[in-house]
Amino acid sequence: MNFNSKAFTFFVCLLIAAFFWLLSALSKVYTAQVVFPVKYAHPPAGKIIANRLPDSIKVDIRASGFTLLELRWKKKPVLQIDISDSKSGAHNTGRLSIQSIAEKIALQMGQDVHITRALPDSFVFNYNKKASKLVPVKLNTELSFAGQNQLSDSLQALPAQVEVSGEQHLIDAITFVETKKLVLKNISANMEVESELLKPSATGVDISPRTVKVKVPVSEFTEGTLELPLEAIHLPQGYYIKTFPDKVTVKFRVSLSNYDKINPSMFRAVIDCDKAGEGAASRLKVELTEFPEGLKGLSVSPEKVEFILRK
Amino acid sequence: MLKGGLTGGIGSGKSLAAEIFRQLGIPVYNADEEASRIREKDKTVKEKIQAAFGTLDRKALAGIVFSDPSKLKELNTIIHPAVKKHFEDWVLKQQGKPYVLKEAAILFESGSDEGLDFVIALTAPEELRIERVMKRDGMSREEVQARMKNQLPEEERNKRSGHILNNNEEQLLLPQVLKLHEKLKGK
Repeated sequence: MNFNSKAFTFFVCLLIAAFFWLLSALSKVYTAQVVFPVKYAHPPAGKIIANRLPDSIKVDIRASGFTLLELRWKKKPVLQIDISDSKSGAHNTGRLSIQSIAEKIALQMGQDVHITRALPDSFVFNYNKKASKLVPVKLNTELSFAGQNQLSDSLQALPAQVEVSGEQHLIDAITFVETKKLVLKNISANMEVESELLKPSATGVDISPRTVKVKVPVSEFTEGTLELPLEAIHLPQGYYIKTFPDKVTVKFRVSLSNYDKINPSMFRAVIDCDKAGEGAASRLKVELTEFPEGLKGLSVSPEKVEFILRK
Repeated sequence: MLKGGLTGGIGSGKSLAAEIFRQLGIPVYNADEEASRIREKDKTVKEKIQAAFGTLDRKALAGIVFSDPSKLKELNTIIHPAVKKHFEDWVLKQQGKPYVLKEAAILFESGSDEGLDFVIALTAPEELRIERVMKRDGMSREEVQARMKNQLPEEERNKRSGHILNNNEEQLLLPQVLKLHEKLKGK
């Protein structure tokens, strides 16, 4: 056996020995300090926690080397603190010592874990009455349409109102809840999309539900043109008015489904004689006082007319 | 009885001015409408167009004449004498009126000003005319400008007209027409 073979055998034996030493070492119980994130659950019905609570606890634990190694390398579990385990105190307070729930918490850390000390060693909960109210949902959207398609009606949030709950003074300051920006491109048909609501910035405020459905009513639009007679309003008794021109053209975009329903009798184009300067030459503004709902890009031409007002 | 012309570039407000004159009791002959009617109805004119261009289709004719100025001139030499004759016949029926007007977009370009006693031109800034036509006819800026190119420049038209009416949104058109009407009535 030459030197190289001897060295190889030596190193293999060394590795096997090191492996068994590691197994033996990790099987032993050690004490270590670990920081765990925490969350709080089950506050008393109709109440909210008014004081700020720690979002992590520092715990001295006793556990096998394997468990500690796992806690070190794997993502630590978020420990759930069950507020219903707390003892009620005076003036709307509750107190929960870690010692009283040590076993429950230790189970969330691992099978063979024992808590020896925790910092903080207890939690104090100050309760406030939970207030709630309904607020409207504000839609934040960026829409673009394919071809001649356009919105045929207003966007609709379902539900239109959501419940916000939390401390009274925080709830009082909230007047609406906005959705996350909803970007929809090349829309060519009716859509119904789920959108998440933005949580109000104040801590301890909850929204229910957390999402709303956004209804996007879409229709294909076409351009329509109609000629309308001009009507004079507030014409003084015994006076006669002649406008130039005496007809105006109204242009609009209308959904294809409604195109055939639009006719001149649905419009009223007027000039207000009260706005005519006494004997002075001027132009009168044409106003559309009646027109069907759902039209877009409504315009009248000419916008002003010249006139002769005579007794 | 005096015979006048009423002209102006596209979007200058010719139709509005013509309407005011009509309301004042002045007969207005719409030469563009009549030319279109004669081209479609007059048997002799139709035969001449068919012989010269091989078609009576309005779109096909437009395609031919707008791409070749000499063809446009040829078409005008067929239609305008017929329009002129029709106008003369029409004038004879307007007895008792102080004057009559012939409304035409291309009054000078077509030679329709021949035999008229005076010409009234409507004028407005080019940008305003473009905006008016775009809004009124739903045309693009380029389409309006292409049509303007086929018409006499505004300055040239104004120079050849005896009376100018400004329809520029700053001045009212109605008082200008009334003033001119009084002047023409007195002639």
